[in-house]
Amino acid sequence: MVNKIIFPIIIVLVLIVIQLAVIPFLSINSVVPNVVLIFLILYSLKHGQNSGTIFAFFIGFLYDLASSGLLGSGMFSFTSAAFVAGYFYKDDFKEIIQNPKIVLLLFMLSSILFFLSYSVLGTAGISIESQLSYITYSILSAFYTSLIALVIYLIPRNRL
Amino acid sequence: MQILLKKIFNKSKEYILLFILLIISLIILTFDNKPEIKKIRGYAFASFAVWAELIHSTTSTEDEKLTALQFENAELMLQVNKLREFALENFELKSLLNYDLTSQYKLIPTSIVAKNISKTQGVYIINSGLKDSISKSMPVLNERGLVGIITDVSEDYSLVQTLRSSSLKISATIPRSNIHGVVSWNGNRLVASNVPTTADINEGDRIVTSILSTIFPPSIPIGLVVGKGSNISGLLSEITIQPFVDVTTAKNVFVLKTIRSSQIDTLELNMLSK
Repeated sequence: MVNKIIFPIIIVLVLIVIQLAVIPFLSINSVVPNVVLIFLILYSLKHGQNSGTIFAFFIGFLYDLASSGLLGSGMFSFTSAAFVAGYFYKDDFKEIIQNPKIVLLLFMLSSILFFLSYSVLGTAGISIESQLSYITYSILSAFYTSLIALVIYLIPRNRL
Repeated sequence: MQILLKKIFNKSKEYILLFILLIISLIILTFDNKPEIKKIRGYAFASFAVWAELIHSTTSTEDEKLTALQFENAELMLQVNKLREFALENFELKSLLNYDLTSQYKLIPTSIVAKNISKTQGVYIINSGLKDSISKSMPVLNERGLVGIITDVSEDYSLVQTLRSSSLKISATIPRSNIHGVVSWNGNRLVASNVPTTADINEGDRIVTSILSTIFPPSIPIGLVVGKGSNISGLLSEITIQPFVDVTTAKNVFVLKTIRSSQIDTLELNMLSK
């Protein structure tokens, strides 16, 4: 209970504050990584698809409230991203995490889905011309997020 | 039959769960503008902002001298724009110049403690609120130009909807040709939509807040015209604007203390009641 719910909630709350107070200053041409998403993907990988999806749903709610974004957009995006990440769940967490190719692939997939849905749901109407730019933005943001995730992933390995 | 249903449920329970959660998210999304939701959000952002400011103050390295210069620049920018307006006016109105130059802009310096900048949602939390006499609808700017508008205020913090927010519509004008339009963020760039194709608009024209706006004071710079494209019918154009302010990199902003005219409020109420 403590390891699965309370401790992760505390970590996520800290990450939400960091995400909104510090991370925007690391933006490159409006592209911002999302550290909350990184944690939720790892949570989904460790605790499975169902737990990850439900956890992401509630964290999305907190994220929307804290960020003053459209209520529901974060919930939708985090839930779908955690669901995709949960596909790669295996009983042995180390088995997935030791395969960098899979780690990178799942971070990219989940992040693209997250940024795409978060952008699309945040606007009232999208022109056909804008759709392409949304996809480009989502891919770039997903790439940046995956890069940050990769750095986090590599640090403990080097220490070992 | 029951066993078959149970089997299907067990096999696809993840999808059923996902479907239910996504539907709930979409339902909540439709309630976003409800006053109750806004109230909850108001409490949430105020309590969150305390933590965000704590983190922000420990990580940021702000130069007081730089902030003071930015403040001075913002004041000068507003004055320069006013003077630019005067230059375009008729010589007969020059007698009014002395009067207007004496009017001072009251700027409230403030820092951004949190940002949520995505493709379509651009929101700031600033560390000034009711105690600094900030109220809803006050314009927010920096030394370059307009940044956004105050949408929610708590005792110590305020919420700013920036130019990158697709729900913010600004009444704007091109002073050179006196063309008016509505500027908004389309998720990709800042645009002025449904402008007649025959309107006298050139690339490089300055766009400022319009005198027709009852929220923004006139002549706050927004950006420059960088492109013009017409729609299928060819009758209306979409003007692409390069904003003066990069809202993603802004750190210190100023709230322009404006007092809404009670006469305008009364007129608007009268028009609505008709």
